[in-house]
Amino acid sequence: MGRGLVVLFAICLLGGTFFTGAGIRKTASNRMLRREYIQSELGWKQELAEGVDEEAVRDRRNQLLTENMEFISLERQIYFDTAPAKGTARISNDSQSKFYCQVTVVRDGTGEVLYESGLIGPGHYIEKIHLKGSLKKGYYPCTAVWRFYSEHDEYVGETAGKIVVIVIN
Amino acid sequence: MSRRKSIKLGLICSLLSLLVGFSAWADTKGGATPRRNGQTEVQIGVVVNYMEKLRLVVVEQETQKPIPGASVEIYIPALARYVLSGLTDENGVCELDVACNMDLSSNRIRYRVYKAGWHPYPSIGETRLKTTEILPVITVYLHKQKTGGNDSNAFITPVIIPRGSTAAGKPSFDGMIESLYSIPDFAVWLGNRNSGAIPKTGMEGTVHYWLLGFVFFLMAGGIVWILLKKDKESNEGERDLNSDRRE
Repeated sequence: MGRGLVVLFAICLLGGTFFTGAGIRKTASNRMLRREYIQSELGWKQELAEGVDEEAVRDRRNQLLTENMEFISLERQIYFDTAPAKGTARISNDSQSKFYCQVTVVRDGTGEVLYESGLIGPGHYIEKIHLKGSLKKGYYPCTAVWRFYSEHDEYVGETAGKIVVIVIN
Repeated sequence: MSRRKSIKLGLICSLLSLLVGFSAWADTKGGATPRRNGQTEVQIGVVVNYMEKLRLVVVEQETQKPIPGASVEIYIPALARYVLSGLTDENGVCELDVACNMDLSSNRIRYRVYKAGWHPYPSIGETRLKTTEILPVITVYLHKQKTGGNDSNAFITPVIIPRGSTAAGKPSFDGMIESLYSIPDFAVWLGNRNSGAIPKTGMEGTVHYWLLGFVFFLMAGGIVWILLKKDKESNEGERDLNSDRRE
């Protein structure tokens, strides 16, 4: 009886420590996240931390991203003579763009990342790209995901568009 | 010049122009593609468009008026989340690029549409595109949030979407949409890419941890109390026994 109670005590002590630790960790991460949003250079993040209606803030953020989408471009059909060859993608981030961007091309069928760019500053472009992996001759529906970052590397949001990668031979 | 000479000259000129013309033509994109085995495959310069525009029209359920500024997101299976693709314009239209004209086993487009103050929030739908047909126009219906009621938690019956084109924002019924459903989804997060919403306070979402920790510590305390009580009782028992023996 006495030994059983000691074991139960140990379990309760461990459980209590675990959940209290989890509580402390979550509280700390909440505070960090809130501080990050309060100190953010993006207006919508500050509004969110201030407790402005989340749906309205989300609309404003999306508006900002959609406006910026006008200044970025990518070929909708990217041709490659062979999979290891270069293809003309014409990824561009116009000088009027407010954000830095990074493009990832994901193959819809498998989820494989076919291309990942570095950070492209406003006024810069990438003419030709290499594919990762070895694709056979054919066409591959893909999604281009654009991730936007502010001047101080703060993540702003992401947008996506469908493209097709075509390997000729 | 004799007739024979002029025929010869004509032949030479034609051959020369063919040579020059072919090399120039072969240099253009899609004109001639050299093969690895040394042969040349000549393709006729027909541009095949593998991308088309899928039109989404977002309208008010009762009045059929277009809703501008609604966010349209598409589902990216590889990322397992919806990503913003655009906003509707003043006609309530948002055009999405989709793959077409190719033999795909499945060309499923999953999307969700939402706008602050409108329900369902978000409206989720999907369509399976057929390869050779004209792309459908998808009409998404939203309705104004009712004041006073808990509309966001209400079960939303599937919205039956009229099929067909919506030229000038007015839907007709002769198009094709395979499936479309609307369900309430409360997981439209705005926070970090992979996390949830921004907590209003540092304590938000931590109460259950603290509570469970407190309960466990309380139980541990209870056990200690029982053990101490038992120890005290046994000590008292021993003391009584010793005093009995002394007597």
